[in-house]
Amino acid sequence: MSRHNERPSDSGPAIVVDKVSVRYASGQWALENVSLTLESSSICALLGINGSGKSTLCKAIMGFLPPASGRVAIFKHAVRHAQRRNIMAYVPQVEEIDWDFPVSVYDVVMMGRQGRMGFLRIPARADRVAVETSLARVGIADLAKRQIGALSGGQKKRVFLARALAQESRIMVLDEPFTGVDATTENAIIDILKQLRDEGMTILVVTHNLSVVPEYCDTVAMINRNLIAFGKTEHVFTPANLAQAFGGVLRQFPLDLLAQEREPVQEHLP
Amino acid sequence: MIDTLLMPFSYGFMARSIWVGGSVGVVCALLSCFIILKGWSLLGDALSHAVVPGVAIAYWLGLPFVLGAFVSGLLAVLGIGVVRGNSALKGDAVIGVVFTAFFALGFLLISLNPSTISLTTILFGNLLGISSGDAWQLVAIAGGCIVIIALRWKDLLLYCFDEQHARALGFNVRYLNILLLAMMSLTAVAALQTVGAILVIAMLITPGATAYLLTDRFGHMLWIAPLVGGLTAMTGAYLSFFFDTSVGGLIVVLQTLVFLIAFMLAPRHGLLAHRRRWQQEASS
Repeated sequence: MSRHNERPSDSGPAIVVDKVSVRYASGQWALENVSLTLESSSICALLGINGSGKSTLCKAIMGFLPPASGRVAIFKHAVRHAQRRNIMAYVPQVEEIDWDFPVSVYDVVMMGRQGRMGFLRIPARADRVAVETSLARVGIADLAKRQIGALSGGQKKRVFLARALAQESRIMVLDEPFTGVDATTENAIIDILKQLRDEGMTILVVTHNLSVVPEYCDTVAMINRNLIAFGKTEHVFTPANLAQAFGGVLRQFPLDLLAQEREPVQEHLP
Repeated sequence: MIDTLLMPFSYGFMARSIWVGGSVGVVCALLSCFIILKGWSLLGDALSHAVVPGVAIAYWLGLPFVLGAFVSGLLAVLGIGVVRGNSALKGDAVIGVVFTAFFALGFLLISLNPSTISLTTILFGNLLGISSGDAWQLVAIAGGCIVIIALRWKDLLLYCFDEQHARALGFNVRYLNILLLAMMSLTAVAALQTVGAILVIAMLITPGATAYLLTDRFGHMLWIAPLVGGLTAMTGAYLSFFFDTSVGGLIVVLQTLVFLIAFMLAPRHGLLAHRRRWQQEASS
């Protein structure tokens, strides 16, 4: 089984979600007929209310949940194939992790390298360098020896971002990386995501922090079991679509202000 | 005095039970590290009971009991999977139904054919009376599992810690799942011979739980747990020579004593350490 990060000769879209439907064990539909195409070197925000199927879509893309119908293609190949080539990284929600587990920050980030190690999984020099670089990049090099439970909310997010960085993947899926973090961490994560995009990575990020979405996301997808809207941020991130995606629950984000905020987006561009 | 202390070793069956007990203690303890972290304690209990019908049938047909135990353990896991996947029942209820069904079936088979293997042996183990053929099977199981864990512990750790990440890296999690379950079935039957079906679960949980209290590093757990499991099993077998007690009971009581000491005195997770921290926080 080859575990190298081969660059596929074919270019084209990084992620194609084609008419994907996912069913819960109870028989209810979690996702129905969702189609998206994410190009290389782009960041896509995935928006929707709680229970709208955002995490389900992430997991279907990562290959953790089998679609009931439809298919996901990663660089034109099946997800299974992409997993073996080590090109997909996943940053889970905080609740999905057992924080009492007896592993250190360094151990967890080293797990990002495990697909590249030999039979006995003994880290090579390149693996240690990748881990140290990733820890430094997210600003937690000094916490390497800490047990993961002894971290703040923001630090916990940084650990799993570092693990994804150490993986040196081409696609990164982040499920709510900004929930429960302070503004400093949020800005730090956004900066890293922008750098990664400029390095050619394709990023899908589930977020509830709508106000900063136009600042770093190239495309936006809104779902509520079905796809509500998908496209370039400037076309899709509109009060009408947001109202449809969030219905009456969108309180912290005044829709009428949004229209005025649309223009200054240009100022962020060089 | 020294002569008295060394006396157990002059009996072949005693020396054998000390070594067999020790190796079973070590392998159970190694697996217990994964079991407690994966949250599979109840499943371990289930497996240790579910192997009983397999053991009975294997003895009946004159096959190696390991084979019977393995097949019956896997059937139980399969049964749990099928019922869970096709009902809204909670996991622990499903496990409860399936493992008691297997255990009851085992009882029935043994009582139908009591000459081959006695119920007491199954329930309470018979380390001192173990035949040399069975002893070799147990040592082979223990050795095999120890080698597999030595080679594969990092993948098993990844699987226990974050199954999704293991999948994202292209690891075959179904294979890791089966590997862990298969080793649990095999060690369950090994422990069944030493301490009996009722106490197997202690061997598969307590050493790992003790190690967990003593360290924050999984790598260290993999040394502490087998040390505790192996030494307590050997000591238990050795002491039973003088006290004429149930070996299984003695081993598990010793393991519990070590656990209690760790629970009180562990440097960071012990009761006293917690107490100290509360007092410091209260005074500051």
